[in-house]
Amino acid sequence: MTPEELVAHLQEADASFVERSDIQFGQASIWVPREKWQACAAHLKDCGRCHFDLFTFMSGVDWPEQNEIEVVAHVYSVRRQHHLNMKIRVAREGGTVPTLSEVWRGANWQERECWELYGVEFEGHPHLVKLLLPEAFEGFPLRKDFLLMTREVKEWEGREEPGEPGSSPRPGRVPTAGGAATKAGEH
Amino acid sequence: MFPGGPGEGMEVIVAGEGSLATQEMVLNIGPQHPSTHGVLRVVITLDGERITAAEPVIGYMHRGFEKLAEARDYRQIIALVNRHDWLSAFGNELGVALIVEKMMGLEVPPRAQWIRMLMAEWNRVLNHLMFLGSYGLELGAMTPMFYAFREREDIQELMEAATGGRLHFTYCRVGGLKDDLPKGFLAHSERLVKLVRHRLLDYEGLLLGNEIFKKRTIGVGALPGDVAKDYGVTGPILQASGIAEDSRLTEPYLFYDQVDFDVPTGEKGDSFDRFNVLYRRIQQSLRIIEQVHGKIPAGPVILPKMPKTIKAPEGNYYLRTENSLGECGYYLVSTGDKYPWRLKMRTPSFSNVSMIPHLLPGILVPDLIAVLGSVFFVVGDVDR
Repeated sequence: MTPEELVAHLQEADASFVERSDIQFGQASIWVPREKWQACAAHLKDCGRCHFDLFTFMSGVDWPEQNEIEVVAHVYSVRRQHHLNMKIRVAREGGTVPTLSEVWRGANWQERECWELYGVEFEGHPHLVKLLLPEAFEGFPLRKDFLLMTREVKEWEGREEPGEPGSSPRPGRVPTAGGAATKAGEH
Repeated sequence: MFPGGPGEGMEVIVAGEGSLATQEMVLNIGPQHPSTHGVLRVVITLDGERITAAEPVIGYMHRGFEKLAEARDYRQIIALVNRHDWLSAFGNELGVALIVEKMMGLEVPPRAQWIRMLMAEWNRVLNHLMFLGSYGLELGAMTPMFYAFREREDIQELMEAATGGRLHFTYCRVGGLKDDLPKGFLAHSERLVKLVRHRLLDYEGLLLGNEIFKKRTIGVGALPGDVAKDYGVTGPILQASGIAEDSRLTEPYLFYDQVDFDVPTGEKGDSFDRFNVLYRRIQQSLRIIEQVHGKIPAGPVILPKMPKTIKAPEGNYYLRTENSLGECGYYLVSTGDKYPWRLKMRTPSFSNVSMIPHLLPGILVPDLIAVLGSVFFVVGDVDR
């Protein structure tokens, strides 16, 4: 299906699946309401016309101005050869998204990564623990107010990116006292 | 005075009745195990010799590339993405150049596109040779490793002649390439195709036709195709499970629609199939390279009027390329600035490794390395 047909098909299948949609550079994105997130995913996978069987990736995008984090799941259909970005917007503080790990198994790790990097909770996730970061790591590094380590040490003369200097609560320091609290120190 | 005479010897009393009570054992593999190509740790739970659960522990090489990319311009990002999958650096940078060009709507000169294809395929051969050699090594055969490095050295020399790099090429630019090919490059490349193709036969004899190798890999660690797709597994691992999904074929980028090649697939998706697909992918890459040689037109290798600072227009897009180990994609969210607002690196190894908890349970400890090694991955690509 072309991106336009895909969006039209989903609106037809269940009008409440698609809150908003757009097509950029020939790629369709749909914003799904929270209560339909799992149902929409199940439809995308099981419907013979959609047949989204390959779970490509899931991640987040921080939008501090709207105080929201956008969670994006990208799926692809090997048989039908079409792409779709499934998006959902949640509040930066205390935002939760229902898990997709029961629909696509690949979502398990992707959600763990999204959780530790953006602080978005995934409801019903079977094993929501840190994946890439050390256990004791504090803060959500891919949020815009989390400064790069080098910017923390020395302010950047050019653009203050990401986040303005001084706005950061100095997050993300791994306690090093006693040499504990890193992954390497576990065993 | 030796024991063992009539009525002597050790007396064994089996306590209790029924079957013997066993205890599960937790065994830690890595993070420094040679079969992991970096630092991957796998915690496995054993019932006797059989694995009942496996949990990869990743993140030892997490370098925060996605965060860093938000503070770098596109020129710098091309150098940066060279480093996540260090065995297919050109394939990585190609994706970034392509996505920015797609969003800016640039028409890259055909000469540059053909040369990119040539480089991408040589890089794929370089990558696959590494795994071809190291998989043999993991199973106890040392010779293929030496053979693989013999070929790798030649290919690296060739690529160095054009790019100046042996591992991190940084040859792509948004809008084209850094430089044209040096004189005599294509002739050298043609000779090398013949040489590598001839030498590939050595591997066929050493590994694919080897009785010990077959015994250790056939029927071990089979992965059904639908499970693979569910986990987002791509590349040779998915193809070995019988699914001919390859974005060079299904969604051709560059000029892949103008060359002939096949996507080799396996049947059972076991370790042997995965290795066999990898081997046959090299042959297909060589086939593509041969066709590219005759098709490179004359002309510029970079757009003549590129702005000094490159700004991708506002919007978001996901672009995928078939990298050596699978689908390497970039999801770029731009606010129209010279830095990306968000650059998600969708790396093939991450999704492929996430499938390991499914693949390992049920197999025996002696098969562990044969299976783990056949999920070809680079830890830098997993952790980013």
